[in-house]
Amino acid sequence: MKVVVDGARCTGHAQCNVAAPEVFTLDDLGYALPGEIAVSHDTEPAARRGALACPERAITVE
Amino acid sequence: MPDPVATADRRRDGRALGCPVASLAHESAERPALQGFREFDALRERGPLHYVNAGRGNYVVVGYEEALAVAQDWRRFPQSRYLFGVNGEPGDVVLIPESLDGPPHTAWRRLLAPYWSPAAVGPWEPAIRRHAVDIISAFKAKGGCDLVTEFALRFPPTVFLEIMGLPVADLDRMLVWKEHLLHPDTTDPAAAKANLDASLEAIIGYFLAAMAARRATAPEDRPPGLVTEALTWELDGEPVSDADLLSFYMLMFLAGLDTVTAELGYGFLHLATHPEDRRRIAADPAVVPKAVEELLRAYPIVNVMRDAAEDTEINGCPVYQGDTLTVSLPAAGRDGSMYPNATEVDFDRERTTHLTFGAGPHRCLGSHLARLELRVAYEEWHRLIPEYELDAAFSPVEASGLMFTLNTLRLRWPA
Repeated sequence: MKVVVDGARCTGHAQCNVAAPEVFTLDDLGYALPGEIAVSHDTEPAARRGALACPERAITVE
Repeated sequence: MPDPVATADRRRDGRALGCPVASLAHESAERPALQGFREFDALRERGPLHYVNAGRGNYVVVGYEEALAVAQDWRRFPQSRYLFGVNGEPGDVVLIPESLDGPPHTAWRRLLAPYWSPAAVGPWEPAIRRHAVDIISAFKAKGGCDLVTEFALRFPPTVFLEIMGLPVADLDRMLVWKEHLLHPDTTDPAAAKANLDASLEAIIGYFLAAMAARRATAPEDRPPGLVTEALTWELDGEPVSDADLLSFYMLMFLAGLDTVTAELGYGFLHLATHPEDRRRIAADPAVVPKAVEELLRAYPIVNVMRDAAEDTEINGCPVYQGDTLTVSLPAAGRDGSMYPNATEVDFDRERTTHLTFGAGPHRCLGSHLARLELRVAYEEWHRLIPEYELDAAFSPVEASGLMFTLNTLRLRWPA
């Protein structure tokens, strides 16, 4: 499984990082690092939680 | 007022209408608490978008999906020029970065973001906690207080002054200025206008003096804080002008002194009237972060305004260039198509993802500080005063307009 953070939609709510810090990392401005993130089996539930926590719907699960 | 049914297919200006007509009277200086939420809840039951049949083209967006779509689309729905409008004309007040859109807005947000990121506000927690404890300790022995005037009005502005690097001793006069600006006593319009003008002048003078004092001081001797930091800011290689800095301070002043205050009012109103939720927080502070999010979801306090930049449509309803949209975040947060039992507070709710801090490029810059202040407030209050209830001799009262905020919330507890 992988998740994709759309940097154009991210506006720095940082709720993905609150829900799943092991999956989503913030940059110096507090925005999620954009792009694809490979998700291990162990962190799949956290990754899904993080994606659902985004008010902008900037994170897709693939 | 024309019969809404008779005007349902055409607007007052003769243009096609694709949504219900609302006769919304949500502006009130004083009325029973929670009435604003109930009115918007009732409106949302009838549809996600409503035309307000008064003056120019005004719409109210109350559905979650529609609110998200409008908030995210700054090209189609830029910030409203009517936010500070007078008598139906656009206003000329510019608040930076709130009033900006597009690249100038992005540049300002990049400049400001490092001061307001989760990593930047986290280190303020000990100072924030100290202020919360000091303020609560001052009235704890009385066995009761007005939560609004004695705590909610004082705690967030104290934190604001500390972060700006301004003396906390200036709090009381700032609160007077803020009340004149945001919550004028409209029973005497002439006096309200005079107070507003005087307070506006006083705030501008205050920040100009703070800037001048810092410039007259060697950089290494200037007090820490955002006012000092801002003197070094540059955009596109040019120093930020004093006019733009003042505009930024004005936004900080309005945002930092009023919003968490309003949120705390509704949060404590809920907890004082729902003993099971109050006891849970008192017994288990670990539930507080979840409680903060759920109370934010159920009690958003800001309605935002956007203008339509072109003829377009929302959810099939035509909206015309120049129309103004009031996006009701309080209505969006309680939309049953997004949340099961949406108007109920449930700390165990699986998903609390909300639009209370807005969405899109204007997402509340201070959201991470707001969350921290709310968490610390609920933690320290319930550690110091775990048992409390509404003082039955007084009724909670709110003011509503673009913002919902409580005027008074009297609590009592075993002294």
